Amino acid sequence: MKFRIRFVNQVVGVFLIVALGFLFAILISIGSNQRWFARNYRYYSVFSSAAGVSVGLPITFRGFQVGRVTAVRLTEDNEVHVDFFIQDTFADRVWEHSLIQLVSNPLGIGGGLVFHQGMFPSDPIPEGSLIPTITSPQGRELVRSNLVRLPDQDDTINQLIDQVGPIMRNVEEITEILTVVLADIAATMQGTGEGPIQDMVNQTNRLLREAETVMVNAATISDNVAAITEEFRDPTGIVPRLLDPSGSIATFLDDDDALFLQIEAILEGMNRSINEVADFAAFVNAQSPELLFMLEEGREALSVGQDVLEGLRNNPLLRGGIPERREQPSTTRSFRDDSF
Amino acid sequence: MSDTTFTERQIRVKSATLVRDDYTVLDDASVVFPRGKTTIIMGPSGSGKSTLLKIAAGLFPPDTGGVTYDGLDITASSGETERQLRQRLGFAFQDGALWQNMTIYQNLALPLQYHFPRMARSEIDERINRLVASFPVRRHFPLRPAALSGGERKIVSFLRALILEPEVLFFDEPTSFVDNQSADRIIAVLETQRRRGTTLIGISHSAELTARLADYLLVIIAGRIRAFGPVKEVVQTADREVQTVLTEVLADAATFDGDILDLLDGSDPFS
Amino acid sequence: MSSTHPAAPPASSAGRGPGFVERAGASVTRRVSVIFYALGFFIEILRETVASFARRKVGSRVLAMQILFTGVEALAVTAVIAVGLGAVIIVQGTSLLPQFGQIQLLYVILITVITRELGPILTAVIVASRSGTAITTELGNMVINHEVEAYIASGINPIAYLVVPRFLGVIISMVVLNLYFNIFGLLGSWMVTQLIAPVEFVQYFQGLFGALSVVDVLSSLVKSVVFGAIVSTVATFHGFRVERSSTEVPQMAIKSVGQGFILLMFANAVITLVYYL
Repeated sequence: MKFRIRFVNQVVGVFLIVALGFLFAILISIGSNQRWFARNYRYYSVFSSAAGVSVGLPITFRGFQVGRVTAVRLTEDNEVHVDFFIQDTFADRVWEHSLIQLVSNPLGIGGGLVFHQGMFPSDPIPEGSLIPTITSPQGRELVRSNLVRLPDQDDTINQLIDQVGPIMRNVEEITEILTVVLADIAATMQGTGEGPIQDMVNQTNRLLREAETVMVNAATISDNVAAITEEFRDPTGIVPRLLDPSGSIATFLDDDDALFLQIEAILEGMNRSINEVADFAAFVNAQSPELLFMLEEGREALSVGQDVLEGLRNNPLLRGGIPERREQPSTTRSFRDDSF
Repeated sequence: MSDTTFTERQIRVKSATLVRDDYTVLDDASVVFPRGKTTIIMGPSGSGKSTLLKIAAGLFPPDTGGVTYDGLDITASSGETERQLRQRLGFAFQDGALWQNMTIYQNLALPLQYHFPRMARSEIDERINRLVASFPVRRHFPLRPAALSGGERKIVSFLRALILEPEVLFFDEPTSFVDNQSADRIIAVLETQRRRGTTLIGISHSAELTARLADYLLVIIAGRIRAFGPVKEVVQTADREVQTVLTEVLADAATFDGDILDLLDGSDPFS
Repeated sequence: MSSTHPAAPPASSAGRGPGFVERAGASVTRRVSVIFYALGFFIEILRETVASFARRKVGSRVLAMQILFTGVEALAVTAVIAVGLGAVIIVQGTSLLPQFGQIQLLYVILITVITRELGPILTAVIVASRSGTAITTELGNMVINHEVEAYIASGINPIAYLVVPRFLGVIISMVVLNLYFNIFGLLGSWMVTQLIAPVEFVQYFQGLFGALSVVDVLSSLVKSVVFGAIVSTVATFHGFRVERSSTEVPQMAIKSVGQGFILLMFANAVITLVYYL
């Protein structure tokens, strides 16, 4: 007879007992995983609406499930009482000033209640007491007086806020560069700076001073010319006398163009100064694309920041929490925008 | 024969009719088998002998009519009543009808185990051994029916029908295809049963068996009971066809009765 | 009709003479009466099953053999199918689901597919095709060999002695096979996937047992019980529908599997609906 048939009872017995053992093990595993044998600490919270809160909703603390909603009911005075429990292994973390926050995920998955621990260690608050929500007046007061630990949250809002960081750092860098540039410009303008612009300005200053002396000379010359002209007008004056071939003017004009040459030299010097000023203006103008780029970058950074803030604003949790911002026209203008 | 003559403990077939595939196997058969007597059923092949016997034993119900024993309708009873009722009836199949997936010993032991769950193993052993004492069966105990010849199986089936010590024993050609010695012993066992007052109802075309056992004869032709009564009465019948049947059996004990189908069944083509 | 005559469903008497309408009508009548007969048969099985618990009968060996053939010997094929199915889900899940950031849905999918849906139905299909046909064939041959009549003649109720052990055996085997299917599908497949796409053991089992609920397990087991009852009832019913000829046996075996599958799918749909209502 075949082994199996001879020992049919033993074979079948093993077959059944192993299966029952597995069934038992599975049930135990489910039980321990779903904490049938563990004690739960019951608390409640008051919500303004039961929307998003359902029985079985998990309560998480730093990403760990620490409890579950057991009942949601509407009281006589139209409050929504949410009963929940905190597992025994976490019950000693329910310090005073703890809060509950309803977090909804924009995708509709993975939302839940988040437990926020009070700031200062204390004995666990007694079972059955109220743990306020973060949006309740009580909760807001606790947050304002910084009695609650609000950890970094592991959700989309946090991701958005995380993005703000680097952007802000970029903005900061650009601002620093701008500050340096502006300080340079300011110093330059005050004449206390260094560098090529300063040199140029110094040069220009010198030129302008030279031009000034030239102008002073030119003024005396023109005064003289005026006096001479006046004297020309006087028929009896010196001019006619001078024009008299034996007069002094004749002598004056007959000086082999010495006077003329002097005037020409003065005018030439002025012309050079003016050219140099024009060169400076051109240089500054040539530098403007760089400045413009910097300013443009700043602007971009600010607009990304604005997008992030827009995202924050659209988040239902923070809706209305950030004031409307109006688009402001840029105050920085390119040199090229100016018409010369 | 009024109803009051035969009161209790009789197999009573009441106008049983059985139709299969537009063919009337049994046509309005009514018969009361007298208690403690031996009735031998005879008839040509295909006449409905086996059907009548099986219906009388309550193995299946007729389309119309019914069968009662001890005032109880056999095929309409159920549960414990049925079990107790059937315990009092034994049936030896023509083709053996042994349980193929059991050993010969288990075939004999099962009825005892079923009806007497508390019976000790040793008592079961003892009863089986007593039963098979005069037959060469014991060496077959660990074998399965397929390992036995048709005749051997028939003997086992006959013994199985007796294991519960029934009040009524039905048998279907118990001696055909059985060696002469065993046939002798079967007849001897039947004679013992008859002396004990067991009601015997059976089909046989064995002249010897009929001669040694029969109190009553029943002749069935084409599904109709043509003659029933004490042997002496039936033998003197005026019915030609009945006479033919009787002559064939009683005149020629050595040849087979020509019941070809039954013979084929008995030879068990599956073995 | 007596409980001991399962082998006689209403006689078919479709003649050659009557017209189409008459034949159609007769056919419907016959089918309806077969359904009622089958229902009566099923109720009888339940009755005898309950009775068999009350009195300790000798069917225990038949029961053990039935569990051996239906359960133990189907274990290998069940295990292979379960491990394959589970491994495919894990491999596909670990490559697809993280793209949506929903890897924890892997466990929900595993449990829905293996524990709640395919576990019960696949074991039922395995059992129906292996043991359903075997039972129909065995009983059909018993009818032909007059073994069933021999049981009746010996006062042994064929339903109590032949059907009830098979009924219980198939149900028990089905439940146990379903358990093994879950074990292999959920745990065995994890081992296989370690070769392809390793998943952390602790993470996997925490996720799995976190997502598995008692209702899932119960629903799965209830399905197995119902499926076992269906497969065994259909198989034994068709086995007893064999009347005389051995050529009827394979025909009935085919019918047994076909009707079994249809009833299984129907029952599965009903139970799943009830589960979600």
